[in-house]
Amino acid sequence: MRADVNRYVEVVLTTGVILSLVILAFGSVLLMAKPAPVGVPGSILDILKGVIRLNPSAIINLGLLVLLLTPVVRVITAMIAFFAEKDRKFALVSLTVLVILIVSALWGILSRILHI
Amino acid sequence: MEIGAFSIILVLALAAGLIGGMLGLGGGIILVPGLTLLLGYDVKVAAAASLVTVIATSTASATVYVSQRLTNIRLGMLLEIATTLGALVGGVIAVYISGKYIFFIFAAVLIYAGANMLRVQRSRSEPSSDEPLSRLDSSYTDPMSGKVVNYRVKNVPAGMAGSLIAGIISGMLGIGGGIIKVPLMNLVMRIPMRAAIATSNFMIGVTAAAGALVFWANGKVDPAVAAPCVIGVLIGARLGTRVGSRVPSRALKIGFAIFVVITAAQMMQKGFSL
Repeated sequence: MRADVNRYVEVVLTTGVILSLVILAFGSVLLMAKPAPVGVPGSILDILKGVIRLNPSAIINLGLLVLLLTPVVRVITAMIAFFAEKDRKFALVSLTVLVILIVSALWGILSRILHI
Repeated sequence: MEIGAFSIILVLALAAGLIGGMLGLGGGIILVPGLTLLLGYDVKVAAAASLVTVIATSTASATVYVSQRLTNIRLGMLLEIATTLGALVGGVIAVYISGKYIFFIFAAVLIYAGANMLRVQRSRSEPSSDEPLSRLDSSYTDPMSGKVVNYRVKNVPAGMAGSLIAGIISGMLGIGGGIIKVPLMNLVMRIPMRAAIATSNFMIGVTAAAGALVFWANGKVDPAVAAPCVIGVLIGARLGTRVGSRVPSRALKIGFAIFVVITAAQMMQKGFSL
């Protein structure tokens, strides 16, 4: 049964790193073709709107976001796999890590909005 | 943004990845000094970009280790509670404190890394054929000898405490922190070296993500810096691990020690000037 956690995790990690690298490379090539300002996105919605318009900055930000979310998805995957194996203890361990990751993102968003 | 700036960062990141790959280090410990001392970027911008890069390198090598079944996923997840909590705290501290202190702490960690590199590699682990006692205990097949290695995990509370510190340093400085985690797991928790390296690397992706999420959501990840860093280090590290075995490692280690002394001195100087 242990092999299953390994395989799911492997698939998530491989997909995430390849996908983000492809998006980043595409965004960079686009940037070379038509130089444009690259900046910090306002929100995830702004990124998605920009991606539709093939804005290089938005595409690069999407690539970085995919990279950032890969470990988060990996934790969720392990949590589900442990739960399916009826390994409650390690499903709970994974949930704890997931909560800390969510708190990290929330802290950043709150401090940005509140300017503290 | 200027294509020139993009290309310069890309070249720096390629070099950082190449040297890191040859030495078995993540790129962060070379990338951050390069971005701040050579290119003059703010130390927090450099740390944020480096954290994102660390996720990429760790994830890329984790796929290999996980498929070879060298990674102890259960142990990794347990210690990640401590490393992510530490990285969250480290990221929050980094956003608030003066860059001065980040330079000082970075210089200290660099010196530690240099000393660690030159030290005779001691490896302490007790492989046994005993049946595992807990779900943390594991086994792997050594890729070199083909032998099955069983091991028991010891001193978990001490490992958790050390992981918390490794996490804080990672989130604060933008490095993966394998130089702390690998000796901790091998010497204190008595995990065989191969499993320690694979499991530490596995933890680094999630640890860096906790720190990077703090920076990213706070609008501190500059995509113009982070994107060429990720692309450059990933390619460089891939080349580095390939040529690594052909370069005399003694010369490489002495080279790194010289780099450490010069860089640490410059970071101290930069810290004092802030």
